[in-house]
Amino acid sequence: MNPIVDIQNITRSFGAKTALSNVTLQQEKGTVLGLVGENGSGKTTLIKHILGLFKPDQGTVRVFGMDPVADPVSVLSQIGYLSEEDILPTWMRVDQLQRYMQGFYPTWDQAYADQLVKEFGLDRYSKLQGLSKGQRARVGLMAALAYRPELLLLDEPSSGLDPIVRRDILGAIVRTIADEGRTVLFSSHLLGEVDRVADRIAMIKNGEIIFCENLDDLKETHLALTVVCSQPRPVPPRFKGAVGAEGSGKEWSVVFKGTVAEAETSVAEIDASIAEQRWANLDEIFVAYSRPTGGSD
Amino acid sequence: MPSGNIVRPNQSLIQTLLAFAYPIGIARRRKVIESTVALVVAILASYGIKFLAPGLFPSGSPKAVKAMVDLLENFPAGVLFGILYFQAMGLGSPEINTTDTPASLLTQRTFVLPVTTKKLVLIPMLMASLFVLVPAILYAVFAILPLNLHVPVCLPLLMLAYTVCSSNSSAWMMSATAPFGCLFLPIQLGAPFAVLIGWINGYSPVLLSIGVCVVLLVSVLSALAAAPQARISSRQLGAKRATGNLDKQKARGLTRVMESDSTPFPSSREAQYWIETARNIHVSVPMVIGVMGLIILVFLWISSSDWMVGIFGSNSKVQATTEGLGIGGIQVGPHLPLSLLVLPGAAMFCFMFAANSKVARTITLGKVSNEDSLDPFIAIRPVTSLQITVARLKSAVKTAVNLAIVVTALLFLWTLSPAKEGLHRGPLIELLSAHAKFRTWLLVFVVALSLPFVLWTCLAGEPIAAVTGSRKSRVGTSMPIVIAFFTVVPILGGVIIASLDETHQLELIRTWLMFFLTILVAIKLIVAVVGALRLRRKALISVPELRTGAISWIVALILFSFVYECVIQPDLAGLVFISLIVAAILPMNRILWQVLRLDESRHR
Repeated sequence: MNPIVDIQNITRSFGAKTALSNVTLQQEKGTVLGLVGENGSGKTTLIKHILGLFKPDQGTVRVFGMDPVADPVSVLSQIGYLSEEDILPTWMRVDQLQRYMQGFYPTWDQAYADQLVKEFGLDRYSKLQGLSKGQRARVGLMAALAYRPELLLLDEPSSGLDPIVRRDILGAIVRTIADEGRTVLFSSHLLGEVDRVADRIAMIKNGEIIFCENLDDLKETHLALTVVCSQPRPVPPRFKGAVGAEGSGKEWSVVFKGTVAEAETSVAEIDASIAEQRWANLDEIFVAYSRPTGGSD
Repeated sequence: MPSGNIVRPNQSLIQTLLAFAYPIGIARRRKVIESTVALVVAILASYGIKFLAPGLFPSGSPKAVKAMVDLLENFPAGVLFGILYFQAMGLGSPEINTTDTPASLLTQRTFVLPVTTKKLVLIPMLMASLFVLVPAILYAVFAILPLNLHVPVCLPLLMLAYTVCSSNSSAWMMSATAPFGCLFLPIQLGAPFAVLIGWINGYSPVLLSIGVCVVLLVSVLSALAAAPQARISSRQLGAKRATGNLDKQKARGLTRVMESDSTPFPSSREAQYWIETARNIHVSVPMVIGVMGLIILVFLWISSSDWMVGIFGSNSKVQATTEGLGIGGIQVGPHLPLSLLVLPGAAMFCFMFAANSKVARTITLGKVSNEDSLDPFIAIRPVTSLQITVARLKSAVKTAVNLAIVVTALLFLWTLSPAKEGLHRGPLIELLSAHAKFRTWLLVFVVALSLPFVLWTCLAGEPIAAVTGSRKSRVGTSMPIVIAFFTVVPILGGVIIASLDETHQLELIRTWLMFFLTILVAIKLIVAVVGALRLRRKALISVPELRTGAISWIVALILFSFVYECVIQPDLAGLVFISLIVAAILPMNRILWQVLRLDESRHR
């Protein structure tokens, strides 16, 4: 099956700063991909490439098999996008925005839009300017959903939505969309949110994709170890498979990529032992990759 | 956010219209005080001149002095100017949050005049004096010139002087002259109308031609004036991002807007205010212009009424003097040219607002005149850059058509105004009420319709791009060429023309204009071809679309030429036809290049 989003080796620089470096990413239809990374890591830049708002210096971007720059109408008519920025025309009322959006999208489903307005606790006749940031984010979400796009791009939706909407409504919507066979790509730095709704997770750091895996696979291949060294160590222990470590002296918490047997072997090589082991949670994996300790000692 | 006496945006339509009519409707008490001071100063000065003039300037005084005194005596115009000035000042001042007032709706300027208590008195007095003295002095100068210059020419020149003032790039002058900028724009835009209406009134084509040169010159100088202002604006924006620059901005007195406005600049609240009061720009803009125009007409009627004459003295002296200057014709006195300038100028001003406002940007899928930027909300919608450009153009067309109707209606109303004793309205009414009625009104409508489009491409900040076809050739690098082209040539031309008799003047003007326009057409045609090829190469336009566009343009040109053939003098047909090509090619180029730039801006 052709992927909905197919990004191949794209590189993009802004002046001297390389925002994306040789990024390759694919997303299949009907999946929910969580894009995580620190602030400034390149998440929004990557999403803007998918939207065709940025052109890559190198590499190719294909969405629904098309180039979003060369054929923006075909691509954008199938994409719903919730920006982390407040880009809505705030002088409109909610109902005016709905009418305005209908002009762009023949597939606009007014009944669904009204249902979303109701679910989000919005007043159709409220002026957007008078709404809170969170309420405007809900309106933005409604505007991105109501024409039932094939691909939903959510750029840091958590930054605007309050916890209730985030947890209950957004999660339910994302799952519903995926269940209907449509595709969702969302960026976030709230790992709990990603953990809750994503099928796959991609981590981006300094413009590079660190990993892109199924969420379950990711968790099952990473261990959280408590490593006890024979001598106090001034720096984190480095051994094969260790992704990141925190601690001091003799005792260190290490995130390890591999099996338990591999962990035992690697730890033994640095004259240490494993005091405790469990599956690493997403938070620990994210932190470990954000602040790695390097490879083998 | 400033608080206190600011009337918040949620006012009614009537309040808004009142606010346009008179500034204090929306202003702070301080603005009321300023306006009152200005009016009092104006009236006192009027009476002072009225009583002192006979003693100071006896009947044997030079012609120029008499002209100046006559103008100064006729102070209703000064009062009108004062009101307009304070409207502009109120709109541009920091006491009102610019995003909350029609200032931003009309001007989109955020320049601030640092106001202290002292300036509350000094500035109104200074400005009230300037607005009366400068025209009076210029009138006097024109009175002694060997050229038989008329109102349509000297008024644009007057505005040119203001432009030069406002082009001073020093920080103080920038802030101090910002209100001039607000006021200047409608008058600058009205200048071509004044020239053309003057033509209708029977002025010679020589004057018309000189007026065209002046208008071009004014436009370019206005661009030069706008450039440093734009830089200030961008600095403001930069300063908002980097607070380290705040001190520098404070030193320039430019921080109030930044401090008071926590939203990104430009704020969409300005548009929100507009949409609250009038939801459809295509209706509301002409409506507001209509109201403004009516107010001006009422003012003119009142100013020529018996009781006003009783207060301010008869216009007969002015009439005699101005007729001596060769003005003659319609209801004489300075309020006539002022009205000719302000009324259509206001229309153009509002047109520009319609073309630039945030509301328009959304409704028309982007700015009309500033094509480089695209609203992020629109950028992610499934529309092509070409569709966006066409949508913008449609909106501009709607607005311009409505404007043309309103302006024509206002001029018609003007002709219906009752003639007062001792005054006559001269050629305009005679022309309109005589056998050439249909042709004249057709011309008025076509002029009102076409000028916004011509000016759209030649407005402040745009003329250089209009000539070169590219915004990249900014003021600065091309400044010497621009100054040479638009300043030295018309002035030299004017001097040469002045030395000839009227027959030769006409011939020379025609030759010069034909040369100028031919060069312009050649440049723009090359630019158009390059633009079309680039569009095609980028697959932004299909071959049939390109073909249809070219055919439409040619057909439109032929139709327009037929219309003009009906209404112009046959011996001017060639000149007018090539002018039409210029008028038609500029928007076409703008559209072509707008699509390209929009696309580049959208997919960075």
